[in-house]
Amino acid sequence: MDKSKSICEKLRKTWNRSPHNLPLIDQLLDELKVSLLEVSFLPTETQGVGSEPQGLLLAREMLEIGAMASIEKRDISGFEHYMAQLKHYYLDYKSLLEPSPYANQLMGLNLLSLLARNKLSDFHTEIELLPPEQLLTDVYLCHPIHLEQFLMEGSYNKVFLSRDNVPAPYYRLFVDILLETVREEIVSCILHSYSTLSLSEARKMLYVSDDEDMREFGEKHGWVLEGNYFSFISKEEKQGQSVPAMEILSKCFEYARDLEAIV
Amino acid sequence: MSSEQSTEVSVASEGSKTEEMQVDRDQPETPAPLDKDSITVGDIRDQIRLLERSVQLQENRFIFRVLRALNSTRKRINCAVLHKLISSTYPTDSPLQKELLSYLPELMSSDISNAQQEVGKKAPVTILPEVDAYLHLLVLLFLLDTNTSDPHSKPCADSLSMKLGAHNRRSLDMLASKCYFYHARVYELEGNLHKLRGFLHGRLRTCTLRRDEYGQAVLMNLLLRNYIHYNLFDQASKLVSKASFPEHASNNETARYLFYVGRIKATQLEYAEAHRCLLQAMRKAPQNTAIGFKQTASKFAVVVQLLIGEIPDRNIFYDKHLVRPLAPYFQLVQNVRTGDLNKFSQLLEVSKGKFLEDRTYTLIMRLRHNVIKTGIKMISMSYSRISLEELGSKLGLGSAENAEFIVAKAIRDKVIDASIDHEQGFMRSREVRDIYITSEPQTAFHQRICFCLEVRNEAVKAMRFPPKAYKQGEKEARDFSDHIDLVELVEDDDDFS
Repeated sequence: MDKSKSICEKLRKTWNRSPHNLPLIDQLLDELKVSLLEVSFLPTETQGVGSEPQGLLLAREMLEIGAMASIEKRDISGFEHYMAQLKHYYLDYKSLLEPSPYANQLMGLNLLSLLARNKLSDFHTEIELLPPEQLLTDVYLCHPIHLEQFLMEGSYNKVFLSRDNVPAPYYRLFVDILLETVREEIVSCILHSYSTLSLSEARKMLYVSDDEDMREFGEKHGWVLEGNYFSFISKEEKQGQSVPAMEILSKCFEYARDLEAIV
Repeated sequence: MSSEQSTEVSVASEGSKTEEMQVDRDQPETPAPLDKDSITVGDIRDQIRLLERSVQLQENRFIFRVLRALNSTRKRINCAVLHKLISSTYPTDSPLQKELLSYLPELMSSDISNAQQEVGKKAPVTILPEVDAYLHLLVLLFLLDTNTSDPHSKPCADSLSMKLGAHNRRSLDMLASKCYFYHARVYELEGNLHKLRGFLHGRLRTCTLRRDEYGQAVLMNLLLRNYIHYNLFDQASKLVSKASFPEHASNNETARYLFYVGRIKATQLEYAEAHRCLLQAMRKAPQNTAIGFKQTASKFAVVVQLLIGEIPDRNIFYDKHLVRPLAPYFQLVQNVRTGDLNKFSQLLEVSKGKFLEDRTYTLIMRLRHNVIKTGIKMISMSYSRISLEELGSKLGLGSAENAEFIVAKAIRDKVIDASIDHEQGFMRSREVRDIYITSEPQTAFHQRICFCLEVRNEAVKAMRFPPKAYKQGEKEARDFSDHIDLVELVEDDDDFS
């Protein structure tokens, strides 16, 4: 226990110094994990948790630092791993521990990481776990929730704007991933809804910095540039209408077989 | 052999019943309520006899009958009745008897003498575990009904489940499943549901290994309820995908299961599947009772249907049991239908408490973009050309730039058929095409046909044929066809065709 405490103390100091010495932090995290295993790391019901919240607090702090460090390393799977463990401390031991100041920030980051990887079903499952009164009031939590709303309704410009007012610097990594996805979404929207679009307007819509980049971007997506205009002729119009013969046939056979089974 | 035994038992039991009635009649000075009690005692003894008979005959039918009467029995029991029953049914001074009596409150002095009279009369030597479980369950129900926070109810429930775990008897399955249900109920009332999870999982495993379908169904539902109570949809959905729900579970359990699955699917954005489950849950639920279940299920069903993008039928809001609880949902439907974002936000503010209580709030929050979609759809239908700025202000979307993105997405998602002219800043709707030249009607018909076929197949599956009669009939039919063949051979033609 004392050993863990001293390592944790060291870790805290290293963490509070900026810039972060990530290799050292990693090394300390590993040491601390091993030493905490002997005390009370992820205790179960049978072991009796109440006796040593001290150890739990240490473990929680360690996991929090680990999660944030993995974001700095841009290691998303590592972050996921830490979050999976942290959730036990935030949700299952809620009654035993006093709430952590980082809880909402990390939960918000978790939400955002799910959103950035387009895991919408997991995203909504996570939301159910959070207290509903905090969802729209807490700065950290409402950021990803609003982002999801923007994405669903299509206010992509608001997503781009939100990049500049993230509640914590760590959010930026995921927002950047999200913006890439959003750009692709906008591309497919433009394809469907415009017949022509000027170069400068397309640049504005896609938040591309200058005309040259925009040209490249257009080429990458196979857009045709005529003068200063991209023109999109949807593929559907090119195709002639055809009778879906096979489909109708197979359905008819199916009905015939079912009828046969009944009569 | 066994039927002989049973008649003996039933004759004997009837004998004792009449004896008892006489005893009652011999005491005219007993007050009216006691009279009622003794009738109850008699009835419960009948139930116990049914239990005994079902064990002897290995026939679940009788237990089923006992359990069906459980609700009415539950309303009639009281402390005196239970004292009487327990002291007369158990062997005198057995530890089981003492344990049960310790849960009950002390009797009034007059009642004690009454109970002791009974004890003196007969002292059975052994007691069947089924009867023991039944009486124990009655005690538990009594504790639950008199005082929901009775300190005795928890140890009572615990020991009941321990007892059940010690036996491996098929005749106990149905009773045990009921007991598990009330065991979990006790924990839920105490707010300690999470402590029961390990136990339930263990029992579910045992039940699955023993192919105890009653237990499996009830335990699955209890676990799902347990998880969903704490919003642990992740775990719940894993349970659903890993463990199978017994096919032949009773309708009520299936209805519960479908309801839980529906809620899980709704959380995971699988709205079509969720809607199917919720609808089926409501259909499977008993027609005249279970009003609370139907109310809750229809709340979810309405929200999920809105999320799919359909507008629920107006009729369901007129049902006399649903009018009041569904009132905020009716407004919700109206707001989504008109596509008015401002009104929608207002309603969300006003009815927030109600929705939170119903646990539909997070689902309803997702409706926001459906509202926008319908709004855009309406505008695209009524205007052939509209400036984006105008559209934005009509739907409360803010700036024209924002509106442009939203409309672009709506076009991409095939909500509307239109195009945007960026230079002049307007949206132009395309001519509405004749829907009958598309394959739309075909798919609609296909859906309906599939549904009808499924109903038919389900109905065939649900029919029960008595096993023996079926084989006999088959045999007869074969004989008959042989006969026809012979006749045909002889007569060669006519009449038979």
